[in-house]
Amino acid sequence: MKKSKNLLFKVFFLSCLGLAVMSCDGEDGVDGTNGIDGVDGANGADGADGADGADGADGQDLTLAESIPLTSSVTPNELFELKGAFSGSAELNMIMSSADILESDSTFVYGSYMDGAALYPAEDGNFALINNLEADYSIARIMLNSQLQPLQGDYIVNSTATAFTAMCSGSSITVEEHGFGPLFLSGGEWGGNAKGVFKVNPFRATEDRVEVERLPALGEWSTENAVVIGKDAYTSQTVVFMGDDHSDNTYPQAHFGMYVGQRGDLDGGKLYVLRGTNPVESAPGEGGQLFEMGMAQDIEYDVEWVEVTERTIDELNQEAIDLGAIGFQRIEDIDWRRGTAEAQREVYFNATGRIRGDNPDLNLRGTGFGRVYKLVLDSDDPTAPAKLTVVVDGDLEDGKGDGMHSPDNILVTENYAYVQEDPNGYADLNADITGFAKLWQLDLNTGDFVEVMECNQTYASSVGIGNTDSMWEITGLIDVTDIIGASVPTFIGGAQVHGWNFSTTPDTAVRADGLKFVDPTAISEGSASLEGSVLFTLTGLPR
Amino acid sequence: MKILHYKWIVVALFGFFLSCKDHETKPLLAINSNDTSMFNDAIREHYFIALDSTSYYIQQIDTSNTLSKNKSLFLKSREWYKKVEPMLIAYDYENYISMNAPNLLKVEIDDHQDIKILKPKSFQVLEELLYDEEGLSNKELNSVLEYLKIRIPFVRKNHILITQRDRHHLKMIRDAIVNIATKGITGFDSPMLANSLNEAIYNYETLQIVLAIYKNAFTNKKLYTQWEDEITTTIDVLKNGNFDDFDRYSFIKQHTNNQLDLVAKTAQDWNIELSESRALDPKVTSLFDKNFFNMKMFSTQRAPDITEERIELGRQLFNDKDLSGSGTISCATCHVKEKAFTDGHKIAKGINGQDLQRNSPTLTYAVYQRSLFYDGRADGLEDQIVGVTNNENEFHIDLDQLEEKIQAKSAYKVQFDSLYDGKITDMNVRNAIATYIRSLAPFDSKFDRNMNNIEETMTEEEVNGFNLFMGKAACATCHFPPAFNGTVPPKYMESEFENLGVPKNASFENPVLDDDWGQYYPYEVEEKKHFFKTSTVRNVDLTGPYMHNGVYKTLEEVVEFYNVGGGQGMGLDVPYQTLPPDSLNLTNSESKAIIAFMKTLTDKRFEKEAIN
Repeated sequence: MKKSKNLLFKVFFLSCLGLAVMSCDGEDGVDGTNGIDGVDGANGADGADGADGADGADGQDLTLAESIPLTSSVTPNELFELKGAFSGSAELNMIMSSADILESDSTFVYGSYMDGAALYPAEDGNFALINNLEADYSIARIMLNSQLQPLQGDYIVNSTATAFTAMCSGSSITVEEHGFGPLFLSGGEWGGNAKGVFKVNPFRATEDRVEVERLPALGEWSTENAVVIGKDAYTSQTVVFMGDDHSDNTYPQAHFGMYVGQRGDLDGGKLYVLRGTNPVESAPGEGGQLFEMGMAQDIEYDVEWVEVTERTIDELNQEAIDLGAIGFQRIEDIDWRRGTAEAQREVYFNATGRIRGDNPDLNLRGTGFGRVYKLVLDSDDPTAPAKLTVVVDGDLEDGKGDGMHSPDNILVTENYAYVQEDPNGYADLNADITGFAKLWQLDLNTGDFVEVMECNQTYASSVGIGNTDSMWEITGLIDVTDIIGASVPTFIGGAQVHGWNFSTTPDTAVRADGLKFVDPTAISEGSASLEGSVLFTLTGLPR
Repeated sequence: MKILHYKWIVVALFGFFLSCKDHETKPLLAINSNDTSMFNDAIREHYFIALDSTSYYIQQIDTSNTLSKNKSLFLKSREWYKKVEPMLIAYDYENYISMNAPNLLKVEIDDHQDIKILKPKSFQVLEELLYDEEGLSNKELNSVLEYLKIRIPFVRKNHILITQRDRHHLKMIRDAIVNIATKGITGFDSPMLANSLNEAIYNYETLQIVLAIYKNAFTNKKLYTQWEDEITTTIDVLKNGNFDDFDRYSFIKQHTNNQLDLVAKTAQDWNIELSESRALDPKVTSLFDKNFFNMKMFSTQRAPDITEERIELGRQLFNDKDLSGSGTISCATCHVKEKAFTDGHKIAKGINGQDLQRNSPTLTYAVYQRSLFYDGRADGLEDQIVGVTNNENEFHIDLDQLEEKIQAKSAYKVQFDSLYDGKITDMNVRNAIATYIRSLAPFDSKFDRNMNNIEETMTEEEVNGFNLFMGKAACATCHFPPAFNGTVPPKYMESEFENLGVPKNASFENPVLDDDWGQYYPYEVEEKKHFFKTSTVRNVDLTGPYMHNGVYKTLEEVVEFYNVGGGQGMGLDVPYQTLPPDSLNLTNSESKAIIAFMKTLTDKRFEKEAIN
């Protein structure tokens, strides 16, 4: 029997104040707008906690022009260490962290597990940074000035809207790059049973945050991300790739999906999965493509696209298996090469990998430490046969990727791919894995693979930020150089500072005003992770 | 605002009936055997009406209302929810799971760094909040309402009813029929109200509507009439029943099975094939048929076919002591055929009589478990065998040695030559043994034979026991038919684990909580402590002693354990117990009847007559 009424779920989410406001709204009727008032009621909850909620409400009234920027973060830049030559040529500057208070918008709290991000030009030379907060199941919009200093913040999609589904990686669609937009796509992966691709207008009204749109035509995958390639790749079509973060114990079944529609059409197109032309199981590296491990590093394999008709998650997954689609181990982020039309048809993605127990079946089939793939599409027809190459293989002993630990997010520029780690905890299994989560640079022309940066959790823990056991994740890296018109290459990225959490370090995981790392307009405290995130710029890395 | 919404619903309903009438004048819709269904629009229309109505009533539930008003609004919303449920299962299963989740934490684990614990906000939670005699927490109520009030419009707006074919809609009907028989009428998702029979009626009403949408598509008009008659009669039976003494035995035998037969005939009539890549064989017409499950889908994908020859090879390997490191044990040491593949010990014994970790589970029907070992650490039989091979108190070798040992025995070579292309690999060896284990699920017990109309030998007590098992005693809310294990209908995609608060001693007066933490390991998750896989009840007469630690010698003790509400019911501190601590209030004769029923679940080969 499925109940346990004694001790579970006696958790109190909202204060009486918030409740009273909700109740009044309820009497008014049933429409969504009144529901939004209810969220304001949650602000009231903060008041009950003893914080000055009323002041926060005033902050909302300031225009961007009147807002005072956050010129420096309370969190030190030394949380990250640039490696080798990059320590002289590149520079990291903290934009903000969960511990920062925006002077003109003091109620905005930067929440837990920052992930996918995108930057859009806004009025008066300002910019809107759209940023997923994965563990808050929410999407924030942070307004930055021309110096990329935060002015105000809002949650434009809250946890109720996503039905508590994690918003993982995200991607931008703009008229300049894609021929339509602006839009933000967000991958709904784990948690609340609304997996798939979410579509958000980056400039939507904040009060719309209680609802969001999902794109069923793109398929219900355990979506890490959905990425539209550049408009020059094909003359009249919009091509979207979906990374399926399916996690398996013996039989890898994460598939790589592609949607093709007319330019700007995200509803009426067709859906495909990637299959090898030799879809049989073979020993690792021997050319079978039923599973990824049949393919070895630096060999170009023939692959093809097979149309699928199912859209719902289990049926779609089974259809892909029945069709002999390539089984990967947890596909994560995707990006495409910038530059010419030909470059735009070059797509990169990561499989983060998984190792489990003493059963060899899993890692004979799927990657353990992770892989980076390059997919080259046909020049005329996105659905025509393509070429797939493992460009970095984390499982290859003494290979360039030996020591890479769970590649997750990826940023691709004209000449480089920047691979961001989210370590899955397998450092003990490979002596070449050292330290903490790293950022790697892959030279797309030479294939060189070098370390750029590492989280410095030793230093961070010494100043009370996290510990040295819970590995952080570097994520959300985007190239904003052209968007802001910078003369120096400028990237924005961040990290999920696992372990910097109210439950483990209550003294440091709060802001100066006593607020924990949760914004009630995103998620109620009782459901929140209360963990810190950081957001930074990285300048001087080659593109 | 309220008036507007009422109007809207009326208009929508009216519009719907109109569209039915319009069928005559519109161009005739027909079955599309290999393209998107022409009926999607009409079905989606009903889907939206049911979702909007569910939403309409739930939007009015409010903490400022009187409790009785909220309860009546809940019942109306739940009624519409149950009408939409068959469609939700088919077209948006993820949201079905979320909206109908039991009031238990959901723990998602990817790896050590990646453990998420989520609290449900579902109709079941709402029911418990509104009907719990311990008093209502407005705060909790509000939080659940806030979620559902947005969730239901979300499901409508973001529906995935777009590319379905006619086979999907017929599958929707079939799954609903299976779901009602296996979960609907058992009280699975109506924990406080036991309103299950009424809710099954609401399910059937939707099937009626969908079939009516298809009325003109039937070539054989008589078949459609049969459907009409069958569902009308079924609804009458449900209307006249009450939860505690509903005759589930007759219901399944006469109605569920008849409806499965109608589904098979309808597929023929429409000239469509339901997908074979699903857990259930779509052609089967009895819930207790040997082929109710599609065994292929409970094996590794693309594994070699299950043939008599591979079963026989597996049987030989299963019984071969030479495969163990010590040469003294085989699989059959702990899984003795005569004991339905258990060993009769409290705790299994490995090499040198060493106590292993837990009680030996039966291998019969193990194929129909999605997770293996009591803590679920293996994904399938081939995976499970790795654990036995490596365990230092069991085979104590490794997979390479296993391979070598078999390669060394010429008797096997011939068989591997013909059955596995001559490849004696550890994977093929494991597959052969797994194939043998998969063959141990014949569905030919006295109970099955009666259900399948092969004989009429069930006593009144045994039938009564089944009805209690499926109803008042709530056994079937975890031991789901037809395998009576924890694999959840109607998709049978996952097997459940429960925390019962099992003690380490058999005393009901002075129990001590067992110190086996079960699923707490390997990720050390507090919320998973003391969780164990739900075992099958089939062959239970032969598989004692019982529970993961063999604490109970008799079925009487086991039933008593549940009757007192498990560990928590006996006063133990079990914070995450999933079994309600309240007594089931079973009388002695009821307990006896349940045991009598369970003893009809012995496979034919193990029956006393067969053995003697």
